[in-house]
Amino acid sequence: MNQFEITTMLGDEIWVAVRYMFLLGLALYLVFALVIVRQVGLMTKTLSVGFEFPIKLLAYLHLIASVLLFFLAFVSL
Amino acid sequence: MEKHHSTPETHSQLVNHHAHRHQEGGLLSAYCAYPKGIKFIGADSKEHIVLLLRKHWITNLRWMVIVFLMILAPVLVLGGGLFNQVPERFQIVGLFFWYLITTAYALEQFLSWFFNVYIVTDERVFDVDFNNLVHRQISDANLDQIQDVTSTIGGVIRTALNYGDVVIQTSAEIVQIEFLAVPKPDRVAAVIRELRVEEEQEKLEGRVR
Repeated sequence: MNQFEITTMLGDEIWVAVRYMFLLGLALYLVFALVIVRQVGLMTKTLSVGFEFPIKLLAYLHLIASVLLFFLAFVSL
Repeated sequence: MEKHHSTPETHSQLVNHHAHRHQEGGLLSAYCAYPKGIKFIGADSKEHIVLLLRKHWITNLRWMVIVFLMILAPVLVLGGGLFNQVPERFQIVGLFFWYLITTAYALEQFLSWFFNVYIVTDERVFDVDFNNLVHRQISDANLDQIQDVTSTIGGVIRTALNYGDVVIQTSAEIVQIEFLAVPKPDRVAAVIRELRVEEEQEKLEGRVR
């Protein structure tokens, strides 16, 4: 039984399950993105070399992208 | 340290000797001598940073290649038709998620390289380690506690690119501090030895801070 036959047999149920798996994964990833922001804060507090702004900006942009992706998945999946 | 600079004889000359040397290397360099505008936890206000070191940039090559492959992977996978049965909305979210993970991986690797530094000041040597996401360890030893400094370059690539390890044996609580895969290890070892001599000279002349 190939992948096409399995998905046809299960119908939409499998994609509902996949949707919840995606949302769970993205929610956990959100936590990870928050930890990265916290980590960057700790690192720039430890060592300040004048390059903090780009690094912090990248960390926050990554967090914002994670939040947006979560909402995109919530709405579209 | 360049040998053509004269040895300072008075305390103010010694302070000026380190305070007014020109910076060698940039903010993203693995080897930066006399960096300006650097602050770090545990530094004394009168302490001058002589060397700011990181692992040689070549140590980043592995994760850069992995990131490159991660960027290309969706093109190959989706182009091969492996996920044709997956609804398009799942493919789009999955694609964004993959690139978010790639960004996080690249950022983590860069942060690990950038902030795991070795610092040599005119008073102490520091090893700043970020072992995992939120765990930081700073080891330091006074220059007058240094008993032995050994530099090692081993292997074809390390010899060609002139980077290696500097092992510092101390009489402090932390017996050994290691500077791993740093550029110009022989020069780093020479700088530390010279600073140790200066520190001993200060002690003899009663100018210890």
